[in-house]
Amino acid sequence: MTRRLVGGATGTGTATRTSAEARVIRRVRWRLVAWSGGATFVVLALLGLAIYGAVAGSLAGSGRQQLEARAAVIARFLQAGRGGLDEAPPIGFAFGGATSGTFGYVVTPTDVVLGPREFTAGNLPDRAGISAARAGTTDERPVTVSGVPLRVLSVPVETPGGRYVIQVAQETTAERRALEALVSVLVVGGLLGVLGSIAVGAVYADRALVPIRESLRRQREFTADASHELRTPLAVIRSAVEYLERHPDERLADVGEVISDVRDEVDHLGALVEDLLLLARTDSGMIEVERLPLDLADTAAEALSSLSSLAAARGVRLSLDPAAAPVLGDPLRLRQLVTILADNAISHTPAGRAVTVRVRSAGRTAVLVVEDEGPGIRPEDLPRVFDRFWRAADAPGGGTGLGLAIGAWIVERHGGTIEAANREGGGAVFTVRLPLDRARLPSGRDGDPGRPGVQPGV
Amino acid sequence: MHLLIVEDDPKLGRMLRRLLEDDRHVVEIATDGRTGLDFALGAEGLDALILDIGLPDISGLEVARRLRAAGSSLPILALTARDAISDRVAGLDAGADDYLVKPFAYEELSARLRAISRRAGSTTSRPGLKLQSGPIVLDEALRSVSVAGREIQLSPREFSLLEAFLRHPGRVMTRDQLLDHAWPYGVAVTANAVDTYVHYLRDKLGPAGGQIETVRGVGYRLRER
Repeated sequence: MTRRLVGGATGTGTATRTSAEARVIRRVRWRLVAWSGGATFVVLALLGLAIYGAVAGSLAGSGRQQLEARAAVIARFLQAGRGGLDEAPPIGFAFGGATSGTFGYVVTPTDVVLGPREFTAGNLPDRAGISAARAGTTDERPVTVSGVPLRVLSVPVETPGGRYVIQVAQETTAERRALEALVSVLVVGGLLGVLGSIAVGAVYADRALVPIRESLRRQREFTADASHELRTPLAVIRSAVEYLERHPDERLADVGEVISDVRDEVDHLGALVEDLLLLARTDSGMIEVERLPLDLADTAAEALSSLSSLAAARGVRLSLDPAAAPVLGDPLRLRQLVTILADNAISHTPAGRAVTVRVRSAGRTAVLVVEDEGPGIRPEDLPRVFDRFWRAADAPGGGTGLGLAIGAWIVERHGGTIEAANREGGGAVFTVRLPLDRARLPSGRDGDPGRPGVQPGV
Repeated sequence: MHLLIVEDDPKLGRMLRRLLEDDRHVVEIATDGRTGLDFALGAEGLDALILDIGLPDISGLEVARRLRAAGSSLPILALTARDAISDRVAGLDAGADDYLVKPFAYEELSARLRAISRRAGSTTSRPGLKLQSGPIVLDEALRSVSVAGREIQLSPREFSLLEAFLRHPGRVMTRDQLLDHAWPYGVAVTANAVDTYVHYLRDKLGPAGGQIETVRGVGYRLRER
């Protein structure tokens, strides 16, 4: 197990799975667009109804006012007590004609029509209005006479000669046309609005889905990488066991390599399972991180002391350059963080070279720096070093490819930052910044990197 | 068979080589895609390619695609850690003849190798798992040889030579071609070694050994009967 599959294998071979994913995304996208379009439609429809109602109401209101004014003029004539209304009516008493679209007349209690000649009791356009007015109520209703829409107002007038009915009418064709024009403007405007909102919704949905796409992609890569990382050791173990089964008589010494391969792979699988379980629990938020007062320099010293034998075995000089850096954190996790970074540095450093761990407090920040004298990180790889299962193409074997991902999680849960870079003279440098617990910072120590720490080195 | 394994995991490569060599195959290993591709394109006498899909430099899919694009018809058995249908489809579409999901049983690997080389074997269209010429029978599954029904014991090299002859019956094989088929690349052998092992092989085949004819100045040919 030296390397992992990279780009090529990850990017290809998942065409069908991607399209299943794409289907889900497309569905979500359409749903978002439909909701946005639907909501806009409802809002615009309500707005349109309100505008239509207001305009129609105001037109009808002013039309009725005109009719009422005319009716009032006629009523004044009637109530002026001019009897003998069988004679020709005075000017203004009645007006218009059936063809002018605007007219008025009086109907006596004996059903005689006083007004333009063409109107007789038999051809009045609105008998129902007259009946209503005779019953004592003012009545307004729309009536259509030979295709012409009319608004007809019937008003009862009490005179000494009994209850007369004044009926006045006006043509409402222009009003209708205006309303029709308004409706078409509203419909066209509404449709444009809905279309616009769908377009905007589509763009917006695309943007909103970018992180989801990204997370699905990462999930897919992770699954592919995990299956590769887990199944290859299994294949080695299975093949080794089959080989041993085929050679039952071989002496143990002759198959030592086979057996040690099996042991290595079992160890490696064990480490992988451990790391994967940890990451799974971090993903589901099942791991609590304590916040205890501690000194990062102490934590680093503890971590390095457990790594000193590994460093010695590899011929790497491991040194700690501490300064007091009080932080609030989880001692176990922070020690794990230092161990991961230092272990990573040691494994990338050739024998005879050095790995240096520095702890400082600067301003409001506790800084942990792990430097090695290895080959450094290729610039194009820098953005990926904290990715799960990512491993440098020339990485030494043994690692799970998950250590730095776990380290990054620990830093994040402590409210800090971690970054990887290359030193000018060669070699990689990892810098962790954690918020300092300033309450416990001895005065005068603040931002004094030259002062040696209280803890002895490794 | 002369096989090339392209597998980046050295332990898995080693283990497969042990098992395959046990079965008297000639095995080469490449640990990255480019090397494997160069090897497969440049080498004569390969019978099949065992190709891991997850390689560090260029993926196995890409290796298969480029091999096919270069016109190679070398049978390819893809090894993959991913078992989604889409992955298998992608593998087959890229030009692999078959695939095997890790971890696999060696028996299955071996059977699939036989199957893809049989399907690809336009040189010898034959039924079943046996290569036969006259009284000589080579059982590919059992990895055994018998002459007139009596089993004979061959060394791995003799076995590979005989397999090469039986796969190309009636065809004149040059010493170099026989070297390519029966010896791993990079092993320093001279053409004389071919003569020596052909001699051993004829002896072990007894009277049937006469079927392997010397073609003077060129090489050898298995006469068909």
